Formats: sequence, C-alpha cells, structure tokens
Amino acid sequence: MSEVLYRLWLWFWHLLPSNPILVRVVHGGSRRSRHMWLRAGYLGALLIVVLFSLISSMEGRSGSLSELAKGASQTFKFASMTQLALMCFLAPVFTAGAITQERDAQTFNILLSTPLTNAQIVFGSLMSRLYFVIVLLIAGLPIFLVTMVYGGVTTSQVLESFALSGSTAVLTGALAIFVAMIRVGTRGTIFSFYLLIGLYLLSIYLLGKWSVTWIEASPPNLSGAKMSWLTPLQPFLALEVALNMVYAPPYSRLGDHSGLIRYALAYPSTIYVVWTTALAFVLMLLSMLFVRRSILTGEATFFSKLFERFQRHPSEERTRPPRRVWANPVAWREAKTRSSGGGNILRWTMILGGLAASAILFIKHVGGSMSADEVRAWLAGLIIIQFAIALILATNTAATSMTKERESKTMDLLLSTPVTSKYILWGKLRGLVSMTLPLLLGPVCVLILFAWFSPVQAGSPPTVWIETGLELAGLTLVYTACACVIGLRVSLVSKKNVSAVMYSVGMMILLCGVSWILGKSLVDASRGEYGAFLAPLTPFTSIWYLVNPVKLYDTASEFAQRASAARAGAMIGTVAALCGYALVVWSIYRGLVRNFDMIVRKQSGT
Amino acid sequence: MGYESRKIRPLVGYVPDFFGAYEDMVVQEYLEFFASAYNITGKQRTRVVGDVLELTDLMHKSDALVDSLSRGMQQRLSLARVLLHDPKVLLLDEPASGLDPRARIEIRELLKELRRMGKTIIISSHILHELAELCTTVGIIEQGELIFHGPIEEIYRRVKTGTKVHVKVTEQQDLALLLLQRTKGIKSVEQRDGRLVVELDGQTHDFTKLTKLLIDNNFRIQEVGEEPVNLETAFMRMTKGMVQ
Repeated sequence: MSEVLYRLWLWFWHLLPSNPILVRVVHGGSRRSRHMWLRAGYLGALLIVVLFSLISSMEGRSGSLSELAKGASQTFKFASMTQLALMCFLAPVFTAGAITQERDAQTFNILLSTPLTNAQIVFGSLMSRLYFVIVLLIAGLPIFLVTMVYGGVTTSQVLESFALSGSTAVLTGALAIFVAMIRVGTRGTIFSFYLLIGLYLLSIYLLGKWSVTWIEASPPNLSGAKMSWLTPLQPFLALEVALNMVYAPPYSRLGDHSGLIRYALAYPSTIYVVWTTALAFVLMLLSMLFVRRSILTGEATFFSKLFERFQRHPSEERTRPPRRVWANPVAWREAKTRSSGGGNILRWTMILGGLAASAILFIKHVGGSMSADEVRAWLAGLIIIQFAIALILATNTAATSMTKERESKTMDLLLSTPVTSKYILWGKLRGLVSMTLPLLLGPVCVLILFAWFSPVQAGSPPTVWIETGLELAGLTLVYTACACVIGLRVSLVSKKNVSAVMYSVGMMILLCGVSWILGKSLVDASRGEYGAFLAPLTPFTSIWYLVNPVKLYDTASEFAQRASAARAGAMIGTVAALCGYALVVWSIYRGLVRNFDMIVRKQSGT
Repeated sequence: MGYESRKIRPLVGYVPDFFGAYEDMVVQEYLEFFASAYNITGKQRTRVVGDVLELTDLMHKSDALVDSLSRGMQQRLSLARVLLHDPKVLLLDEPASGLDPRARIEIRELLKELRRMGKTIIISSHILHELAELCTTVGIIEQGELIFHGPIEEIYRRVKTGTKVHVKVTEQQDLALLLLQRTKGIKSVEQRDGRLVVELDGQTHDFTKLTKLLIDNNFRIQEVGEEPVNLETAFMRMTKGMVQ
C-alpha cells in the first residue's frame, strides 16, 4: 500500500511541483519587471476600488456595527465584481499565447522528443500559463479579507468569489491549451479567442438580464429582478447570486425540474465552478491525446481526419484570383489583406446581424408594437455594441500592423523601397480606417432609415433626427481613427504581436471605461442643451445621448419644447469633438512620423 | 547616405536572406504592391509585373498565395520583386540558402541571365564554390575588414606561393619519390591517394622538367597536372580564421 502511495506521490511530484515546464516559468516569470508592474497595477486597481467603495459606503451612515457591516458588504460586492472582470480580461490575455506557442517558440517539438509524458507537457503548459493569473488571485486575497473585518461578508462568500474567478481562469487556460494541442490555431485565432470569450460573457449576461429567462420560483430582489436559468452558465450572474444581489430559488420550490437541473438552479455558483472545472479537466485529457498524435505527418489518424477540413496542409499551394492594388499599397494591404479570413467573416456577421436586428426594430416600430422611446434605447444599445466591436477590431488590427511587418520580415523590404515613413504611416492609418468603415456605415444607414421613414406623431419630435446619422458618422470615424493611431503607436514600439494587442486593447478598454464614467457624470450633471453639447466629447455617451436625446430632459414634454436647442447643442458639441479628436489623431501621427526611423532602427538593433 | 537615400533606393534592388511574405497576398498582388511602392502605376505597372513574371518564369504562379510557395519559388519571386524598378545594382544576401539542388541551379541560371542583361550583382554568400561560378570579382571580409578585393584570377594568383604538381606513375612509386626528393628545385614530395604531390620551389613554375626527369629515368607517367586552386582554398589561405 505504501509503495502505491509513494508511486502516486512521485507521479504527482513529476506532474506539477517538479514539472520542468512549470519550474522554468515560475523561476523566470517571477523576476520579470513587466510582471511586477502588472501585479502592482492589478492590486492597485483592486485597492482603489475597495478604498473608494469603503469611503463612499460609509458616508452618511451612523457608524453602528450593522451600518459598517452593510458598507463592507457593498465594498466586497464591488471588489468581487472588479476581480472577476479583471480575471475575465487577464486570463484570456495570458493563456491565449499558448495557441501559437509551437510556431512562436519553436521549442515544442524539442519538448516532444524528451521523455516528458503527455500529462506533464499538457499540465505543465496549462499551469505555466495560469501561474501568473493564480498568483494575482492569491495576491488579492488580503484586500478581500479587509472587508471581513467589519462583518457582513462571510468566509463562504469570499471562497465562492475566488472559486468563480479561479475556475473561469482555469477553463480559459484549458481551452487555449486544447486549441494549441490540436494545432488548428493561428495568430488570428488569438483575437477570435478573446472575442469569443467576450461575446459569450456579454451575450449570456444580457440574456440573463432579460425577464423572459427569469425563473418564476426565484424570489425578486429590491428592484424586482429575478434569477435567470442561465445563471449557472455565466460567472457574473453566478457571482451576483453568491453576493446576494439576486436570489436563487429555494431547492424545495424547484420540484418541477429534474435532479441535476434542480440542484444547478438552487446552487448556481457551485454548479458553475463544478462544470467549468470538469470541462477544463476533460479538455486537458483530450489535449493529452493530441500531444504526440497530431505531429505525425502523412499518416491518417482519427483526429487528423476529424480536423481535416479545418487544417491546411503545409505543402499545399493555394491560389485565388488577384485583386487590384491601390495607388497607396500600404493602405491597400491594411484595408484588404488584414481583414481577410476569420476577421472578414466576423465583420460581415456583425454588419448583417446589426442590419437584421435594426430591421426587426423598424418593423416593430412601424407596426406600433414598440414606442419611440423603446426604439431609441434599443437602437442606441445596438449601435454601442456594433461600435464597441468595431473599435476592438480596429485597435487589434492597428496594434499588430507594425509588429506583423516585423514578424513576417516585410518591414526591411518596405524600407528598401522609396516610400517614406510618412507614406507608410499615413497608408496604414488610411487602410485601418477603411477596413472599419463598413462596420461604421451600417449603424449610420440604419439611423438615416429611421429618421426618414419612422412615423411621426403630431407635436412630438421624430424617433431619430436626420442629422444624428451624419453626426455619428463623423464622430465614430474620428473615434476609430483615434483608436487606430493609438494602436499604431503601441505597435511601433512593441516587439511582439501578443504584447502589442494586450497593451493597446487593454488601454482602449480603460480609456473607453474611464471616458464613459466621466462623460456620463458630466452629461448627467449638466443635462439639457449643455448635456447635448458635452455628450459627443466621449465615444459611448455620444451614441447613447445623440440617439436618445430625450434622456437629457426630465420629461418628454420638456424635451419636445426644447428640442431645437438640444439639436443645436449636439451639433456644436459634435463639431467641437470632431476638431478635438482630429487634433489628437494629427498630433500622435506627427509624433509617429518624427520618431519612426529612430524607433524602427532601435527595434532592428542597428 | 541618409540624405541621398531617396535617390539611391531606386537604383538598388535588395534581396535579403529571408523571404518577407505578406499573408493573404497572391504573387501578382505581391509584385503590384512593391511596384506601387516604387511609384510604378497604371498600365506601366501591369506591363512591368508581366515582364518580370515572364523573366523569372513565374507567370503560371501569378494566382498562388505567396506564403504557400516553395522556398525556390519564393526566392525567384524575391528576384522578380527587385527587378520591378529595373535597378542598376542588385544586392543579394545568401541567394541560394535553403534551396534544393534544382532551385539552386535555376537561381544560378537566372543570375547569369541578369548579368548578361548588364546588371551589377553583389552577392554575399558563404557557399564559395557557387560564387566562383557566378562572380567576376570577389571581396573577402574578415572581422569587418575588407582584406581582399579584385578579379577572381587575381586571388588565385595571390594565394599561389609555389606550384604543386600531382604525378601518378604506373609502378615503382617509392623509387620515383626518392628520385624527386634528391632533385634540385623541388621543395617537398609526399605520397597522397596513390599519387606523388610535388611542391616546386618559388622560382620554379615549369613542371615539364619534372616529367622529363621521370621519363629519362624510365618511369611511365599515367597522370600529371597542377594542383587546382579554388575559391575555398584561396579563402582559407587568405583568412586567419578569425571569423566573428
């Protein structure tokens, strides 16, 4: 018996603690200054959220123990949500690199020739990718324990919050390793990977907030919201239940459902942790089957046949009719060749999906089953989602535009031609904006359609003003140009694709988030015509309030009376925003042109 | 160079030792892309691209995606790219590196064709015997210093310190060795691969006296000839092995 236990311990020891793949990352990763700054940033963000939340929740309270406990509970909710949001952003970023690990490092095949077992390779790869994320989670624990000092937060809530974040990270990592092991991933897959995770989280969350998906047996919270049956599938919904923001139905009241579903609905956060961990384990087991099988070449296996249609044979020559190259070849390349493949499919799916959703809204509105207010809110939401995706797509493509040139070794070729740095950068900017244009044009056309054909009731303003489409066309264009030029700047100074994407997309999300909070506070504080003037100054407030100007006034009748002033305010604000953003784009672009040669030389080490 | 780069770039065509491939670009687009970068537009661009495709024998590959081409084809495409703007000077860095034998021969023939067209071709390579076939002038750089530059015949002449002659006699090779060792004007004699390698001293370049001596002493000569000097041996003799 002791021999068996000893062997088991030895197996586990080789699998994880002494796994050379993991040891290398633990040894080297901890010393990197970039990791130190990221850890500091993560903990700083958590600390700021906790401190601000603590201060604001204690304001105006009597200072009694129960009041303190309520404040701490509120703080814990904010901190847990922030932690989960940061995990959902960081886990894909840190694990997605595994998708192309074989191509990038070219060390994977060497690893396969060693006596390391499949399990050691798979678990070593997973844990080395998750190491940083898990370290972050553990480092944040003391901040959470602070909230427990005041009471109001239970140990089980802290554990549930950490388990939800941890299991989300583990599943993300397992998914990335699985894609890496079956060798169907390319560099483009990394972006699709982020996007799929983002879309999954967002769509399930929004569906979970839709009353149609709510469970009857669930007790309503203070605002009347109930738990959705999608809660066990989404970490944020599950966390809301764990934090008592939404109440799970009691087990006894779910008699209509079969055993497992009944349990899942009564204890959604536990089930979320269980299913994500189990799925991650299954993916790991499947990955172990692929580790050495998929490198066999020329031999048809079950797995190679299974993925044959998705895989491209390396020696196969591919053809297609040539397209006409523009007079500015750099712009042509950015606009046409960078948006091909998966990115193009995604682009057109978004355009067609947006148009289809808008058509449904239009039919419902014309048919009278939707009021003008409802249509405006839906339309604004739809345009915000489309614009957010366009912005992420543009930032991602811009962030890789220079790093890809370096990685594919085409920068030297371009620099040996008579094209100047100004020509290259202008071409890139023009191409990137051209690539995003179809995504921006869709919502604009929809707005013009609504403005032109919507039924107008006497005495009330139209559903959408005719100039709103034109205003948003200009504004979304300069916002996108701004995102592109920032991405281009990051791309120029970054050495690798992944770091450029991480940094620029992260920066864009942060900028949009901060500008949304600041912009909304400013507009809400100003209201009326001043609010209409301020709204175009930040990206998402502009869409929300230009499409939905009625929200700038307390009553619909007040809006109807002062509509002309609101229109003028919005127009002046739009012109100011256009000039301001154009100036930002121009100044960053000038700086890029000025420093281009020096940065390129520095990057190439000459 | 910095201020003159705009004037110099159109005169030079540079082929690096790697192939810079853009994703999702076919051969025709790849060439049109660089033709535009060299300000070749409109009908002229179509004509020039067609011409270089024909010259490099890539016309049948014009619809193929560049990253799916073989290494040999990619190298030909690189040459096609630098010919677009009809440069006077071609700078080629290791043009035959990573190519299979057939592709090497094809590239060599293409370079000979370009030489016939009057292009000045500067090749940087470590495959010396291929350079000997292609080049008229060579330069040897050691530790960043140009230690030789001149016609290929000049380097051979310079490394020749004395004449080495290979002689093969039909029988009694040991006796022939003794005879030659005692002869005046011969620096050294050694047996190598069934032959006698005779090194004449610095002043003696005519080895007909050597053959006459052997014949007069009743040796029957099967083979006789001067030891060949190639670029590799010349390189080894000229450099001190202090390669960085």
